[in-house]
Amino acid sequence: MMRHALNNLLGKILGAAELALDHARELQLRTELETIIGLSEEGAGIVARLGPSASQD
Amino acid sequence: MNPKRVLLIDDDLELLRQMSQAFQGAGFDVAAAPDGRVGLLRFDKGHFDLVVCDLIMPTREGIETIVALRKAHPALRIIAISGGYRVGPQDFLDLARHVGADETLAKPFRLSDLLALSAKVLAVPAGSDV
Repeated sequence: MMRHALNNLLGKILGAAELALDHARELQLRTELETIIGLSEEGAGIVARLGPSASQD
Repeated sequence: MNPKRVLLIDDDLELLRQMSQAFQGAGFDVAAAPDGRVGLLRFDKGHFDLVVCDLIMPTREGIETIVALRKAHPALRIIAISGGYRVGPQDFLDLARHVGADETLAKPFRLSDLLALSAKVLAVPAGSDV
C-alpha cells in the first residue's frame, strides 16, 4: 500500500498549503505556498508512474 | 436559502479536518465521521445533501458504505475519494461509481477541485443522473 500511503500524504500537504493560501496575503508567502502545491502535484505524478509493486500490501 | 449539508467520511483525521474547513469556508453545514460505521450512524441522525466517502477504511470500508447509502437514499449525492488501488489506477473508484457514487476523485486532489465537483453534483436535480 505504498502508493496509497504516498497519495494520502501528498493530499494532506496539498490541502494544508491550499488552506494556508486562502489566508496568505504576502506575495512571497503566496509564491512559496504555490510552489508547495505544484511540487505536491509533481509528486503525485511520480507516484502514478510507480510500478505495480507500489500497489501491493 | 438553507446551506447544503455534507457528511465527510474518511479515516485520515487530518484530511477530514482539511475537508471540513474547506466545506465550511464554502458555506456548507459539515459533519464528519472517521469510518463507514460511524458515518452511517451520523447520516441517520440528520438530513444530508451530499456524502464524500473514502474507500479504504479499517472499519466498514467505503464501497460497503456507499452501497448502504445508495440503497436507502436513491436521490442522495455521493462522491467517492481514494488514494489506493491494487490492480489498476481507477479500479476502486470505478467500482464505487458502479455501486452508486455519482462522481469520484483520486487522491491527492486539490480541495478546490473537491468543492467544484460537489457544486457540480449538487447542481443536478435530485433523482437525475449526474
